[in-house]
Amino acid sequence: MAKATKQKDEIQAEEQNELEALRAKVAQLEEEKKEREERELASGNSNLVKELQEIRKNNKSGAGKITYKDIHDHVNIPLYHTNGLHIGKVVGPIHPGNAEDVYLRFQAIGVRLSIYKPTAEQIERHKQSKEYKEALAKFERKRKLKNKSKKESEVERLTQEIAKLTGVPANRINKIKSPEEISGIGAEQ
Amino acid sequence: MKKRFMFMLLWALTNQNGAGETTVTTMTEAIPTAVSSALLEIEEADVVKSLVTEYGNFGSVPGVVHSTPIISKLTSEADDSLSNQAIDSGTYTGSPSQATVGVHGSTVFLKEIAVLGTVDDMMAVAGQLIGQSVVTRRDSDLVGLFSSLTQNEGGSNVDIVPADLFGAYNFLRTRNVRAPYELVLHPGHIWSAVGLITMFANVADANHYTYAAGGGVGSVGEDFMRNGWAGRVFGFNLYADSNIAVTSNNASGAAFGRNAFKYVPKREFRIDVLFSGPEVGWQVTGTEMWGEAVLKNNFGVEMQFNIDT
Repeated sequence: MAKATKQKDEIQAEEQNELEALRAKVAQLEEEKKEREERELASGNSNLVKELQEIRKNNKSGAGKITYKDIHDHVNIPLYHTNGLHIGKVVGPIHPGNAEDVYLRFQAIGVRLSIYKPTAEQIERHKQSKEYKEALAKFERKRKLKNKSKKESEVERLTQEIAKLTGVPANRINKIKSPEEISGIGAEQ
Repeated sequence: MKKRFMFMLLWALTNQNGAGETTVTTMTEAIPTAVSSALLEIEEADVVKSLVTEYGNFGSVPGVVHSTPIISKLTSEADDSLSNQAIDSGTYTGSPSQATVGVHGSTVFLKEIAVLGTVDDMMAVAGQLIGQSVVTRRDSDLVGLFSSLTQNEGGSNVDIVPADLFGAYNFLRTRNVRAPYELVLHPGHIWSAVGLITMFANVADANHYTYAAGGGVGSVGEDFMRNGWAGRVFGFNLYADSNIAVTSNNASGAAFGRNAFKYVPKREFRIDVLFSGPEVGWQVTGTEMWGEAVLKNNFGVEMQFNIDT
């Protein structure tokens, strides 16, 4: 008798455990569902949002819409440098008639143009060529000279030279105060 | 009782719907009005058209390709036995200069219900928008020619310096280009941290803006500081044009004389309005016909510099 009662208790406890496990599972699934719905709502994928989107999509009303159209009998086209220092550079976009003239004009000075944009690989390959390196070196020499025309570069260069020779920091040569050394308006001088 | 009367009076004053009163429109219906206002604010007008050679008589003659032969210069002889010299264009690359005329414009379909539902005059708005779009198209066509000049100052990753401007001036003077010389730049070429103003700025923070150590502002710098603008710099008339295309922080303006480019109008700007019964609205179309081309390649210099937006 006692054995039978014990067995019954065990079965009941087991059933209770299973029930609790199932309840926990249901609660977990409900939580997940809620989270998923919130996520969908936030990302605009919920059924409600979809319904509204569908209504808008099928709404034939165009009362407030004004259609616009560009009119042209030609499309301006770009050309690209395919050699030389400026490889990859865009010319235009210009009228196709002008593009023909420009093509010939650049051809006369040794620059090839193309309707097709050179790929990154083509540009990189060209940059490894002797022709490009020579042109770049010439260009950089010229830039170096031209950059001197801006006073800042000369003064900066001179300051750096003096700093190197004397060992005095460049900002002290120029007597440039650091921000904390500058007094505000009304402050004691 | 008095309070009740006051309440009724207040309600009547705030809720009456009398004849001739405009009802509220939806935001969607009001968008075109807002867009037009915005566009009118930000659009740049014709900048380059007034600076180039205009062949205004082409509209009255047949043809769509305007051709201008570029004649080589003659050499004056110093005796009384002159030899014939050829007045042909054989020695000038790019001759004749040819501009093909094309149609440019835009059209909008103005629904009657949109017109009735909007407080503004939508037809006027449509007209203004079309006009602005055509102006922008023309200026874009002309500034597109800048990079087709073979002479170039600057480069793909270069900041503008005085020698570039003097280089352009030198080029134009050497070729006897007739003054005045125009300089049309992207606003970033002028007002950015690597722009033209850095040559004239005078700021205390020399640590940051090192050019300040370079010297004073001069009268041109004073103009920039006072007005944000100087009409003439380095011998050029200065213009800012936001229609110049930007490629990776770099853009091409130009320094040129009037004969560097040509503009060939074929038919002036016109707006046509056609009512469409089945669609219940007006087709509003604005068009203009013109062509543009490089006239003399050696009369202009491309100015390609960083704009540092």
